[in-house]
This record gives sequence, C-alpha cells and structure tokens, in this order.
Amino acid sequence: MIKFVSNLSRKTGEIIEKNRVANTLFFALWKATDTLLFQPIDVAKKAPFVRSKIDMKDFMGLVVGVLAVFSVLPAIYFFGWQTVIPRIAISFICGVFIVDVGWAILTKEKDINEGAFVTCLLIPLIFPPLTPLWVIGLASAIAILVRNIFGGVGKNIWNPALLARLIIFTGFAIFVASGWKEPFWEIPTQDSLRYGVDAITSATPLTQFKETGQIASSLDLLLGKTSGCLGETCRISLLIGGVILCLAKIANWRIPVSILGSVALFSYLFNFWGIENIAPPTFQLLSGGLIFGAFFMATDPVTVPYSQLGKWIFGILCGLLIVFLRVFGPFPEAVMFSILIMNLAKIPLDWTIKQFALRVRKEVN
Amino acid sequence: MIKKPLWKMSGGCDLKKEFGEIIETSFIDLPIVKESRDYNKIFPLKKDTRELIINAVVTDPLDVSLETLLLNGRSICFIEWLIWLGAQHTIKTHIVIDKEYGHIINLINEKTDICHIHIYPVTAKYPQDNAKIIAKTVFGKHFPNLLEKTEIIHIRDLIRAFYKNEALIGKNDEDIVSIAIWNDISDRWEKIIRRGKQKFGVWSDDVLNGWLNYAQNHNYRFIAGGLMTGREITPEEIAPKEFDITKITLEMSPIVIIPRGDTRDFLPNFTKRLIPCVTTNLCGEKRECINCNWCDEVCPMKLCVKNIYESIRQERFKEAERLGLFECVECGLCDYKCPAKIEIMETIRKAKKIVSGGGESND
Repeated sequence: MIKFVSNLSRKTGEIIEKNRVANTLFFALWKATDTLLFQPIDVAKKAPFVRSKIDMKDFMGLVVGVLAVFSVLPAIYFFGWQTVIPRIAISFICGVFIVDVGWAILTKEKDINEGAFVTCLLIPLIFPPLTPLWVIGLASAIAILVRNIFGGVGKNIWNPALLARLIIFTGFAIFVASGWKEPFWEIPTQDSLRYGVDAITSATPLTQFKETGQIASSLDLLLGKTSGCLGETCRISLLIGGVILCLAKIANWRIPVSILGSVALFSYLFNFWGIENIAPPTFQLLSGGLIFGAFFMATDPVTVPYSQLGKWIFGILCGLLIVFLRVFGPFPEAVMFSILIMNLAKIPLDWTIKQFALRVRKEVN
Repeated sequence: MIKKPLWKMSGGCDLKKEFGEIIETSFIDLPIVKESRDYNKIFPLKKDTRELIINAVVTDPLDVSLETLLLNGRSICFIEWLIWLGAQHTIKTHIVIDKEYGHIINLINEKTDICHIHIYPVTAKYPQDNAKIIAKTVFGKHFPNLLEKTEIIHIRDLIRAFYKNEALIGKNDEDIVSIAIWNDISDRWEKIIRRGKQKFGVWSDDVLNGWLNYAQNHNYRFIAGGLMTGREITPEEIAPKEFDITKITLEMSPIVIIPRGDTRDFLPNFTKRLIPCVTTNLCGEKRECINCNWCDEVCPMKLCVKNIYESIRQERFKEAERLGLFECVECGLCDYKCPAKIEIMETIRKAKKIVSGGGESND
C-alpha cells in the first residue's frame, strides 16, 4: 500500500514536471504533500555526511503540536468545537491554500514553507471567539501575504500574525468588538463541547479593570475561567506548552523570562511609585495575552534579535512597554503593540551588538 | 608527571547518548599476534618539533580502522610509542584522551614517568578529529601562533592504537556490538560489548572479506577522514581492478562505510526516530535561515556562525573575517545541527578561498 502511494506520488510528480501549466499550478502543492508523506532522497554531497534528524517540518511541527494540545484543546473545552474548528480551518484554507499556494504559483516558487502552518494556527487563537469567519480568513491572508512580500520565512520584520491582528483590530474593529464570549467551566457535556456556553458577550478582565477597576481572581485567570481570545484563556496550559517549547530549544527561554520578569518588576515599581490605574503584578502577569504572547509570539526567532544580549534587551523593553501602554494607552491590552514595536528594534539592536562585538574582538586580537 | 586540571570542550553532542555505553567487558580466547615497530617511520616528526598534541579521543564508533586493513590486523603499541616519545626530551607532549578510558590514563601515568607528557582527560564530544579544535583548547585562544613548531597527530581510534589486535564481530540485525580487542597489559583478549543506540557503518569482517563487493553496491558510500570533515572516496579510486593496498594512505583513516539513505521512507518525520540507522540523507529539505541559534550553540570555537554566514552571503568578506571567518575549524557541527539544512561549512570554505586570494582554505 505504501509502495503504491509512493509510486503514485512519484508518477504524479513526473507528469506535473513535464507539463508546463501543471508545473506552474501544482508543483509546489505536490512537493509539499510528497515531502510530508515521504522522505526526500537528497543526500549530503560534501562533509558533514551525516545530519541531524530534526528538520524544518519537525521544528514547526512541534510548535503546531504544542499549540494544538495546550491551546486548541482547552479552547474546545471552553468554547466548543463548533467555535474553534471552523476558524482554524478557514485560517488554513485562506492562508495556506489560497494565499501561500497562489503566491508560489505567481512567483514560480517550488516550496511552500512550513512557517505558514504556524502562522495560520496562531491567527484564530489570538482573536475573540466569536470573530466572524471571514475576518479570520482575511487576517490569515493578510499575514501570509505581508510575510511573503517582505521576502518569505526568515526575512519578515514583524510577526505576521500580530501584524494581521493589528490591521484587523484597527481597520475592522467593529467586527471584532462584540466577539467576546464567556468560557464554559463545568463538567463537559456533548452540547458544551459543541458550542460552549450560549453566546454571552463579556468584557475581558483587562477591559473590566480599565473601566471599573475590578480585578479578576488570579486562580480564575490561571485556569481560564475569564473571557479572552480563543487560545489565550487557559494560562496554566499555555505555561506548560511554553516551557516544553523552551526545553526543546524551539523557543529561546530568555525572551519569555525577560518579558514576564520585566512586567512583574515594572508593575511592582509603578505600584510602588503610586501611579494611578496600575494593576498589581499578579494581575498584570496573568491577564490578557501576556503568557500567550511571551511564549508563542515574541519567541518567533525571525523577528527577535539574534544575539543573547539582544534578546534580553528585547524582552525587558517589551515588558516595560506592555506595562506602560496598559496604564497610559487607550487600549486595555498592549502585548500586541509592544511586540510589534520591539520587532522594529531588532535590526538596530543586532547591528549595535555586532559592532560592539567586532570592536571587542579587534581589541583582544 | 605534570598534570593539568580537567579540560572541557563546549558544544557538540554527547557521544554516549548518541552511540550507547559500554555495558560489559569479559575475557575470551583468540589468537595472538605480536610485532615490533620503528616508530620514527610510522609517525615521523619534524626535527624542530617542540610541541606535540596527540588526540586520542574516540571519534567514529564502529568504523573500519585502516590499521586493520593495512597491517593485517596489527597495530602499534601505543604505550611503547609514548615511552619512546617521552624520551625525546625536546618535545612537549599533550595527550587528549577520553575520560571513559580511565584505566588507560592510569596506565599512561604508570608507564610514562616523564614530565614532558601532559594528559587531558575529556568527555568525548563529536567530532574530535579536527586538529584545530584540539589545538585551540590545549593552547588556548592564541593557538595559531603556537602552531609553528607544533605537530598534531590523531590516533583515530585509541582502542586500535593501544591494543595489538582487534576484530569486530556481531550481527547486522542487532544493535549490540561485540568488539574483541587484545589487551596489551594483561596479555589477553578482551571482549567489550557496547549497546549501540544507532547502527553505524557496516561490519568490518564484511568489508575485509568483500571490499569490492561493496563497491558494486551503490547503496553504500565510502567516506574517508571522518564523517564530519572527510571526503567521499570511490572504490574505483583506490582499487580499480583489484584491492591495491599501496593506494590507501593513513590520511584516509578512518574509512566509514555508510548507507546512502536515498530511500523514500514513509512519514519520515514520525518514523525516522524509530529507525536506529545513520545514513547520509539530508533528513529534510533546504530552507531559509530562521535564526534558531542552534549553529551558534554547537560551535566549539564560540563563533557567531549566523552573522558570519550572513556577511558572506552579502559579500561583506572583510566583516566576515573580523567576525572570525578564519577561526572556523570547519568541524561541520553547524551543518549537522541546522534544521534548515543550510550548507554553512561549504559557504565558509568558499569565502576563505576568496579572502585568501584563491588559495586553499585553512584546514
């Protein structure tokens, strides 16, 4: 059976390669499917003749897997699979199969990069649960398009998922403003797993704090009993997933540690200095999309400084911005803006640290 | 005997995790062969050599030692050679040796009671067969200047250099390797059983019996000089018509015969970890760099590999040189670890040639 599928795939590839039109339209999609099912036969031509068994599919696949287990599954429990699955599906259809494949056809590229799968899974998880499907599809299309315009995976300046979120939240705010939903929190039933609680729009804890000064319970925030974006509510599972990514060295641990550490530090200092409208450190750490952003968005290796020192500076400044914008900014949530602003700082930070390292090497030599 | 403190090398992979630990040793009876050597001819040293580094760390497990092929199963007595070396008072000798072979270290201490030999027991990291990694760590940061009167000799496999005879026995379908070696100290054959987590190479008795048969089998490749830093050789290059022993040189040691790996395995991202076999397959497709930092973490020279690579790609060769282009020892670990399968080492080699005016890259 496997041999039959392998031969079929190989023959399909040969037919596609021979026909010019089919080559343009279907080669990238065929190659992505073929390399997922079967090992490419490329061997190392020069030393080193052995290579690590971890490739980009493993790298991105682990992120997708961790998100699926520690973000999507809790989201299904809280909001029901009818809320979660269609949004993920539309995100993949629009982002990968329409935009990314379309881009590969138009630019005659041979490869569909695995990074698109991570971006398209992140998009629905960072929007309110009842965001219209077409908005999710539009967001994932914008994310992949912007990433490709900048040069593809490895060359984008901003985190594509966050950039798409920013565009939607500012340009299409009316369609996401009423998308909040109270999470289900009892013993699951068939109905609850299907569509969660009957749709009740509810302000997020940060919005409640900004409007009324009410602080939600830390335990509620940790376990996901409060409303929020689709994938960011169950913070305890996000923490576990984030730690797994850090242990696997997919995510660099310096970034979440520095972001969370500096949020805690600066919110404590702001409280200490008596600044008004500042929430206590535990609320700051557990509310909003901070945990999700610190482990899954800010750790995107392409958009953060390359050097270890740069990562520390990135994280500390990001944390400071988060606390600052939450207090003085017009929006209750600030993680998205902070990460996007600090993505801009990546290039000057990398350049400065490189010049410093070059000077040190020159003096030592 | 002057002993320096323990020395650690950073970066690399843990050999024990990759290839398994020795789990049992026992004595068996096999025939004995003895022969004496003229060490000056085997390892001729230049007259003005002042420092000698002997790298005796195990590198490629289960490879076929050329000593075995060339010398009909005989190898030099390592300890006798060390004693002879120690008598060369003008040469300061540094031996880098695997900590696992503590009994050999004790033996060297007992038998070579000369203060010109310095021993560095290390935890083996992979690869160890590169001269500059060893030299830099022994001499510190400024080793290039000290290399003028220094020679570096690699003992490709300490077991085979130390013991008189060796044979590799075992079955292809098991992951347990039995190595029978002659213990020079106890005058007996010793059998070491190593449980290998990965099948690596092919069995030497198959090669010894059917060298040219493997030449016909295009599923295998012959790699000389180590899998990380060597080159591919074809049997036609060495033995076009029949096995011509004079064509093989010691620089080709070790020769590893490794499966090609150009097979379309089903669902490789799930199954490749279940199949304990090392091949020359790239194990993935080439992609753009995603700044994962793994090349930096694994670099034994602590270079910023990604920055050097980017500088070369943008043809900023002077910047690459300032970042440490020529400090790269081309160990291949960055290539090994890169999930995007980027050919970093080849890029660096080409850049070295360009910067040095088209000459050979440093090796």
